[in-house]
Amino acid sequence: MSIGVAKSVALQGLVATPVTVEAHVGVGLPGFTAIGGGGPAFRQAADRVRAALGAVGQSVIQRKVLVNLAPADVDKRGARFDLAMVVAVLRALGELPAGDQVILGEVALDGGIRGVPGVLPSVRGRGDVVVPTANARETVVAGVDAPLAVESVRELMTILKGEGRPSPPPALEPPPAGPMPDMADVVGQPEARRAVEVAAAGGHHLLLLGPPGAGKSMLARRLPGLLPDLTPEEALTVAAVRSVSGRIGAVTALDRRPPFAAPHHSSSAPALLGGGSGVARPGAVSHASGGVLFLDELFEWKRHALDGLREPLEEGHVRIARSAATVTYPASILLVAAGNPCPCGPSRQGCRCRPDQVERYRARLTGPLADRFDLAPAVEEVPAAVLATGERGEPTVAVAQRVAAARDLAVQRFGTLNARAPSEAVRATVRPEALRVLVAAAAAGRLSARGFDRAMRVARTCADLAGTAQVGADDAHEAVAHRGRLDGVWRVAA
Amino acid sequence: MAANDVVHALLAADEGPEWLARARRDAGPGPTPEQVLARLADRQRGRLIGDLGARPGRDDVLHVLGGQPALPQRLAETWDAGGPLWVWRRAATSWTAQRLAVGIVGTRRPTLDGVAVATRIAAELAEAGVEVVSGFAKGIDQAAHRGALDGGGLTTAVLGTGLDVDYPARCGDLRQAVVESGGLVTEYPHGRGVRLRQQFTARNRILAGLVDGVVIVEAGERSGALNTASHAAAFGREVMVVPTSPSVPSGAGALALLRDGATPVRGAADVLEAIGPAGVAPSGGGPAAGGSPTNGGIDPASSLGPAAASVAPLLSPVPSSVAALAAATGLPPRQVLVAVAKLEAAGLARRVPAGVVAA
Repeated sequence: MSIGVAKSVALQGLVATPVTVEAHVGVGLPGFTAIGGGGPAFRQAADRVRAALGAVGQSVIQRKVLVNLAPADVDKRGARFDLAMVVAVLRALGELPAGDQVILGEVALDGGIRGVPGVLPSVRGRGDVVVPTANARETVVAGVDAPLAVESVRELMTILKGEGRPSPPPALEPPPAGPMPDMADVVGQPEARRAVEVAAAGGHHLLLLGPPGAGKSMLARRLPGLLPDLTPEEALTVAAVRSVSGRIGAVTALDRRPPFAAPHHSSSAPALLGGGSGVARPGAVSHASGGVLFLDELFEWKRHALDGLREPLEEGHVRIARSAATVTYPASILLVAAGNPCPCGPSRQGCRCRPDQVERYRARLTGPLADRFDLAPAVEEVPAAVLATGERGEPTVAVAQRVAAARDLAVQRFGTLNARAPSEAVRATVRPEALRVLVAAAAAGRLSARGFDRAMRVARTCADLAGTAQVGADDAHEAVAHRGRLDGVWRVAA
Repeated sequence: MAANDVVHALLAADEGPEWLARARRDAGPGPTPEQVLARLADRQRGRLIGDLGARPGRDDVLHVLGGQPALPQRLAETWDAGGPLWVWRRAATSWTAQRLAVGIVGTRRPTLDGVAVATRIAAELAEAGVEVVSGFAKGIDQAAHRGALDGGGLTTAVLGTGLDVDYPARCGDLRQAVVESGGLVTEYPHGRGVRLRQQFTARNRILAGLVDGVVIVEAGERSGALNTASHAAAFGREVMVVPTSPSVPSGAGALALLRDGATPVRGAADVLEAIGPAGVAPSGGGPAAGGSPTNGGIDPASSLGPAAASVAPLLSPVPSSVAALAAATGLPPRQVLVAVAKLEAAGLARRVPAGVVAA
């Protein structure tokens, strides 16, 4: 009777838990049983592992094999434990020396090794790891300098027995640095350009309103370029989300550009927020964490999905409970939404909607939804004559400099962006005359109660862009103008 | 059977005014009300009286041409030109006093300026003792009703649905106020909802029949207000128009009426001059004071800083975008936004979905 042990890692969301794989090879009625895991991929692991062992000349068909994954109360699903099971059985058979490596990988019936999702968060902070070649780059991105990347069980055996040398770690691809879309492409649109700049500088959520084809998506896509690069830690979190949900081998370098996610308006709540059976997978909101989540056609989105955004917007992360586990994914986003001012667009001939249609349409923006945005500029169609002149707007580089300076001021003062700073701290930097402007606007119904606090933060950002320490009346006026459409204008139209 | 009872029976079977037009045609050229009524009664004989589940309220009175109670004189005069044979009326008062009445109608999607003008003219007319009649539609119509109520006068609403139908929805307070004022009037039986577009154009002829003249405040190219105007012209009533800029899309139809010879009016004084007996007009012609912010001698916008002072004169009832204001003034967008917010706080500008307008 002999027992072999191998180490592996289970993943719940982005949290890794060490797992011990024990294999017992004994006498008795021939069979191969794997216990301690769950899910379809795990249940079929026994057959894959048995075939792979046969392929490397270590058939256990005549033996009674029991494989156990511990601890029992950690959810362990997927094919990621296949290779660790193979190694544990080989150690039980005395074919391999004992070892402490963390082993991840799915085995093929011919003894080959396939990549698995979620390697990056699993190996983060671990030293001695064995991963499939397909996941090698991602492992290096995670900070493991010399991972043992293998293509087949046979290769792994020769290396572990000391009979072969591991292949050198793969060179990282250069970080993706393709040109981001540039603000210079945006011609005209002074109001929207200013609002985008304020949004980027303060982390304020933005609603772009305008007819189809006016350039709302174009503006939204240029917003990530105005944000500073992610810190290595933030970039790793973004990469971890991609690793968990993306194509295997999709993470080949540390991308420090702020992400941009633009889910379609027909997306379900789980696609937007994260979900799925067993253990929830991250949704678009987590893919955009640290960057921009763009919701085009805001008024076509299902109310249910939008309501679910409330928690991530307030707390910067999203917690999803499913049968097997409750997981937390990052969701620190800058929300940008776009919508038409009325159901028809309005069309070029002018709006053709009936007043009650417009009223119903705009009613969707009232209350909780409007309260989530801070700025709502009008995006207007630029006349073809202006486009034909070949005139360019101010380039991203210039705007991003102002944004970075304003963000630095906010972080020095509050330790965070204006949108997330404590309300009292923001208020303490607002001059009385600026507060009076906001109070008067609220009294006149131009700001809602919730809008008041948000307008104060926007005013703080306007002051930061101007480089002034105290928020003045002009900053407050500008903030009210930016927010006006959210709180006042739509009621007037009814 | 008395005329009113015949009509009662007809309406109880949901035989609406649609049958009236057919009966008129069948009765030959120049039918008298009695002939038409006889034909309608023939149709009705032997038919089951339907149960619409809607019964006239206690205060609802059916007025029938030549019956008892009868149609008011002004409305009865329109019979030969296609006027109604009967109307339902719900009001707190009886329908007797023959006073001056003016219809104020217009688009359901007015500019803020249009709403303000309709409200002001209605209030001034009400103060001068003129009844204000309109169609209770959203937009200009309801602004006219509200203005008349603000002015402490009588206002009557002519509906395109049954008296008990809540249309347009969510206007219960105004509806109640109108019932307590001049009342609701309709040709349609109780329970009749919005079934046909023609209900509202047929309603317009009653509106035109009840007044001495109609004022059109903003009517788009295909607005129902133009239909009211043509009925008014057919009945020999004065058609008046508040002129707008040609750039206001909701004023295009009204401008076309002006071109066809309608009387331009600026305010209640012009209206009274056009319809009223001499001497009724209040002193001072033209629009009431206080309409334009530049009237007061000192320009209030100049106290709000140079940016506001240069933005203010550019504003009009036609919405201007922030982009257009920035281009016209040469100011940076932040300055324009600040100026607009200042002007708005001072009550000199308003933001609407399409841009900024003068308030």
